[in-house]
Amino acid sequence: MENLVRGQKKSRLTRSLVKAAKTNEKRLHVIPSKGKWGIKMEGAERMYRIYLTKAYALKVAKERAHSHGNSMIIVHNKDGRIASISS
Amino acid sequence: MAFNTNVFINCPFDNQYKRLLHPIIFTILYSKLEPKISKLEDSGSIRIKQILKLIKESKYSIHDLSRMKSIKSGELARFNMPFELGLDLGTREIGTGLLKKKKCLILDIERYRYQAALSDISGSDIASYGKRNQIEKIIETIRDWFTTVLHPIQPSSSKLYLEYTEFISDLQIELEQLSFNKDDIKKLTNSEYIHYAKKWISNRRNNSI
Repeated sequence: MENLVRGQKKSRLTRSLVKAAKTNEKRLHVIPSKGKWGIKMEGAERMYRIYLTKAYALKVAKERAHSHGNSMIIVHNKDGRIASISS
Repeated sequence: MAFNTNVFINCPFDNQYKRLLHPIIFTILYSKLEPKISKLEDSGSIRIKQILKLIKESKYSIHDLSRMKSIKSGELARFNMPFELGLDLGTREIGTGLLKKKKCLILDIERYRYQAALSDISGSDIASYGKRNQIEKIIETIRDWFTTVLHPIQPSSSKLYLEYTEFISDLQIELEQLSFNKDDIKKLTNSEYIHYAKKWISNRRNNSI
């Protein structure tokens, strides 16, 4: 039963990931890069801005989100994984 | 033919190394190649036979020797990776036909550390990914190697890194929406990870055309 539930979750996950692969321009990412911290709009091939500290990058990301109507800021940790999400 | 697209990955398989294994797998898949990992195979057969089978089926291989040196005091170093590298190099040297075309990339944290422990591999493609910004560096190293052994035109390493961060955030968000807890996410198997990464990359490509 547990395997069946996990299997159903997996196929739902595959479908939702396929949708997620389309870029969501409402999302901003704060990402570590070469010892600095960058802000990137989802789907962009380059960083929008790069700063020395994570705190400052997050501050700028919040300002941009407020002024441009971005609905979600995804902050990554040094492993690249999500550290926090603010919406 | 699968041989030409298979990449055998010889690296540690513990949770600590997953943070590097995942970007390695992502970079391989993004380059339209197929990662081959011994743990994905049937656990019933003898491990060395599985490894030799994967080595023979893969034109490319990536070997990470970073665990040649133990991390903690009193801990033994891991010899599986240098051993499997030896099997791979031996297969190329002794093998015939397609096996002569095999290419391998050897990774370590420090640039010339191998010279003290494994000097016989001098002359091979050896690269270091350092102790800082390892994820970006490992993606860049593999991408650069693909420009020499695969095709000179490859996506930039910064694009690959940014795509990787988007994929893992999509994966994590979707997993959490399906009530996967942090422990479930940590326990995601390599074959599950490969499956989801393939789907995401394939749809990303379709959407960008």
